[in-house]
Amino acid sequence: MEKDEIISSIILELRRGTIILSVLSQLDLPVYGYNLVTQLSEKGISVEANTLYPLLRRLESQGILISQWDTEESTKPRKYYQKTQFGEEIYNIIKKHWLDNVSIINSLIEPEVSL
Amino acid sequence: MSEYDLIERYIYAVTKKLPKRMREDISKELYSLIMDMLESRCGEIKPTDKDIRVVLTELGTPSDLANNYLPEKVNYLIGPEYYQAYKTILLIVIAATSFGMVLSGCILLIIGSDEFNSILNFMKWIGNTFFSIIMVFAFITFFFAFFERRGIKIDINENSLDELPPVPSKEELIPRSGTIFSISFSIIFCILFLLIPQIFSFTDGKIWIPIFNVSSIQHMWYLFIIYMLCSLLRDFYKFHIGRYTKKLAIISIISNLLSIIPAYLFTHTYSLMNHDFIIKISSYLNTEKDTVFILFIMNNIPSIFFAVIVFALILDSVTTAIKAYQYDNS
Repeated sequence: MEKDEIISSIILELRRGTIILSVLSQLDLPVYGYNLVTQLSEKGISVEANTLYPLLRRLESQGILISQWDTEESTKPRKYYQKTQFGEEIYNIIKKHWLDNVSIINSLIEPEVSL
Repeated sequence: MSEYDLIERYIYAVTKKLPKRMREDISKELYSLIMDMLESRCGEIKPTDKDIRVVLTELGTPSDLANNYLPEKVNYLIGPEYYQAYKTILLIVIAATSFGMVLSGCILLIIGSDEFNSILNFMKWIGNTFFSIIMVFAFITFFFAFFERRGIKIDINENSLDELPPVPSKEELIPRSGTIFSISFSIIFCILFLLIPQIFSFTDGKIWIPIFNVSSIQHMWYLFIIYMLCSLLRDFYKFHIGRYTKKLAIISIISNLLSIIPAYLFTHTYSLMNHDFIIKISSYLNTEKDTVFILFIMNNIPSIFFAVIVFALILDSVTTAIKAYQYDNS
């Protein structure tokens, strides 16, 4: 039991930072929240709606995303989010950071593969 | 949409905890999210009450969800930065207050004051004890909450490495036990003096005569409290910083200067001495010359007290300043 708890808390810790990157990667075009949840989960990243919705708002308040209500598409009004120019810059920097880190960490945990 | 009453109740419970400006937008967004979740769960079929419950449970409790929406900065009454100091000071003050209250009860019991001769008065004493503990608790909490809210730093500046103070030598440190003793002594003295000024009594073997004018002391309790607060604030800072610094010297001098005002008003507004006591003392004296001398002393006791207090305040300011000058080279 204790072992499982330790593992799940470490995995949670690892995941926490990657969610923003995953979200930003999907927002070149306007997407609404729930669509993003399903889109990400189809690609193997499961993000709960109760984490994602507040996160989208936070990113919007930081100027990384921009949002717009679409009331025409169907009977349901939905709020669409998209990266801003600023968000794009941030995303590229974070992406580079991630790729560098991945290769460094890979070489740490599997030295023989990377050599 | 009465069948979606539960959803509306859920959304209301989430948004009522959020700032007003966010509410409308978040409720609209949550509503469309819940509809999307229901649609993906039920497709074209009309969702049942059970479906709605499952979806809402999946979203988590309204307060958890609301917390996710709130800004990163958590609203603390007293945050981790102050919590340790808060806990320590609370402990010292509550311990000293409880001890002072118990002591005052014991003294009343021993000197056989009429305060204790009925159950009613005993209950009153318990009530007072409880009330004073609650009061100091509230006061300290309020004080720290104010610091937290205004972001007042009570610690040394840690932003720049150069500003870290050198490791203090032994003489430079203010022993914590000394400060704790001084804080506790102030509190206990304050309680005894305000609640039972009659314990400072003179006896001729038959009756006890209070030295001080009990009713005027009880009238001026607030001046006494202000005076005590000034010295307690100085001692708390001393306790917190634990060494002689220029800032401590400045705080000590300011608080000592401020204490002079209540000290003057306290000693000079009403007559501090019990008139019966003065009469009793003079009845012991045989010669006229002695009587005149004692009466002169008695009538000037407030000024003498005031002079002693001022002297003590000056002494404290000067020694703190000298030590700060000696040890604090920043």
